Amino acid sequence: MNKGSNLFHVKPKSWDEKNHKSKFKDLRGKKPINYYILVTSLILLSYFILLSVWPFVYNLFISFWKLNLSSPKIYEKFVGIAYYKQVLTDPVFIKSLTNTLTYLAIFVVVGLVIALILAEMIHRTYGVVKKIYTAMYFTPVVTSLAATALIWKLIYYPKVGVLSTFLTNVFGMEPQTFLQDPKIALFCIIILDMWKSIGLETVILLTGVEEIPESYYEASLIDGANPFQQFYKITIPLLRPQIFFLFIIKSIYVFKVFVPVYMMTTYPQGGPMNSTQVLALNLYQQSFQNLKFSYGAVVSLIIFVLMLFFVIMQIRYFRSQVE
Amino acid sequence: MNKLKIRKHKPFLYFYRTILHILLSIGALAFIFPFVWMLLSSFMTNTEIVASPITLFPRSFYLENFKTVFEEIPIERAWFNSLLTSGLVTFFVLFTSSLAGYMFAKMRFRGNNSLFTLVLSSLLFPTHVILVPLYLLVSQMKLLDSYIGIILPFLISGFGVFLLRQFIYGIPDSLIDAAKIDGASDFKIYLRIILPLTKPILSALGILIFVWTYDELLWPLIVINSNEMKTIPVVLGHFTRAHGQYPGSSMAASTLVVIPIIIVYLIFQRNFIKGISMTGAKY
Repeated sequence: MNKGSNLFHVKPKSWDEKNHKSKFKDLRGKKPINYYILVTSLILLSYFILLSVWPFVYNLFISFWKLNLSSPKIYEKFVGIAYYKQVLTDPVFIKSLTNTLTYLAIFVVVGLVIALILAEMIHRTYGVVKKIYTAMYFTPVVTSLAATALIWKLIYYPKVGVLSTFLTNVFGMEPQTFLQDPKIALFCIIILDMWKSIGLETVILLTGVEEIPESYYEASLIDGANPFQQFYKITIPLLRPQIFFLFIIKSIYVFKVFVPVYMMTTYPQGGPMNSTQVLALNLYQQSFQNLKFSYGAVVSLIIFVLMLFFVIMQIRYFRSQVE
Repeated sequence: MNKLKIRKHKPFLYFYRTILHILLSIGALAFIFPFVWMLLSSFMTNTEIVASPITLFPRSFYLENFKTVFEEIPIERAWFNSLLTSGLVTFFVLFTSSLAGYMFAKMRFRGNNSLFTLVLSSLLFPTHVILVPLYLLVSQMKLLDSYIGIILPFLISGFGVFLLRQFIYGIPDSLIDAAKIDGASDFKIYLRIILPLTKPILSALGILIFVWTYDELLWPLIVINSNEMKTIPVVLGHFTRAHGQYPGSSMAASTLVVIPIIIVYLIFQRNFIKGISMTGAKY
């Protein structure tokens, strides 16, 4: 990481731009246009301005207006911060916000811990067995999230479903209703999402573990370290870059969670009693089911602000990788 | 002395290895079980699936569920739509990422850094953050319910440009200089030198982008109206309304979606995992 004070810290160039340019000009008189740079920059500029920057400004604008798509005059009237007030006092929105934050804490922390342990364990196996383990843990990552959410919905079938039967017979628990129980519905969804994504994290961490020289472990073994000490004292400190990066991308992902909640709860989604309501779902329902576009624009902005910290960390991380 | 110590640890290590394999196998089976259960229950009648006590294997080879799926939802068409849109998005992302990656890695021009910053800042505005204006924009362009509308927000990826820039930076300048001396234009260098040399990272990025795009639900859900345009995730959303009444056909639909993916994955398994670890190492 670089320690620059500004947002997108730029490293000083190693070459002297001015000299280079003037020399070039002296020889050729006039610098020729490089069409490769021209075309590529134009593509990038026009695409990102049209589909990223402009919509964002437009979003800000919409949040202050009452919209009516059916009338010829779309912008009905200027309402100031009325929608902001409405969103921030809406109990459903508050619920979706707290749920997303709960999701963030559990999904990111527990997911990373499990992935770390798995990576370390798989690293200690050899040959074909290792490949088979990796392939098995990775399978959910490539399959469709929408389809796997349906599968898990059946696994979570209340009382007589597979998981409920398993828990009653093996651990002697009461039959559970899972997704219909407001207390645990959100956690059931988080478990599905962890199952789906852990393979990816495990493979990335495993690559990191593999790069740690074997001599470190041998040396520690001679000093009498047990496998657990090796894990804490060697593996985790040396994996810090990968852990940091996964932490950022997982956090950003959480603010966009939509598919699992949409697929696993019945229409209108987010139930029972809004216990699985999340920000992206709230955004979708308010703007495209209740057609309150300005309300949706405000929710979008709030998602943006919450994500901002993590995305800036990500961009700074990327920039620090640029030599 | 050292040898002694290692030997002292040996019984412990054997014990530890066994525990390790037991734990890993239980975990791996738990990871695969949902797919097994999906496959088994897609051949069960609805009453069989939710029967108490539960039966793991279908009593007979029951095919009604699949029939219901083909009758009720346009799953073949959805497969076609998903493959087409994800394929197009992957193609465009790979093309633009390598094009821009070459420019940012090897060319010096005024505004290089600010343009790269703009590309990276696009990570600040995923579709969720600009959903409403993007919808209004696409509907004003009369692109609702069209393939172009579905793929439009995903054509250039800031992440892809960054990844390719990092990779191309490692290609030796002498290769490019030699081609320049021979009189090759930048476009020719891009086609003949950069593209062939970036193949491994392009296939890795391609897999990631493809998987991300066909999993996309929020944007297609908004853009698509007609049945003919629906992608796989949108079509599966059908079961969120009536799932309780027929778990059998929802599992049959999932089977029809998941099994082809798993077959492709098993064939190219090594490339998948190598690709991920490659992009992971480059992060």
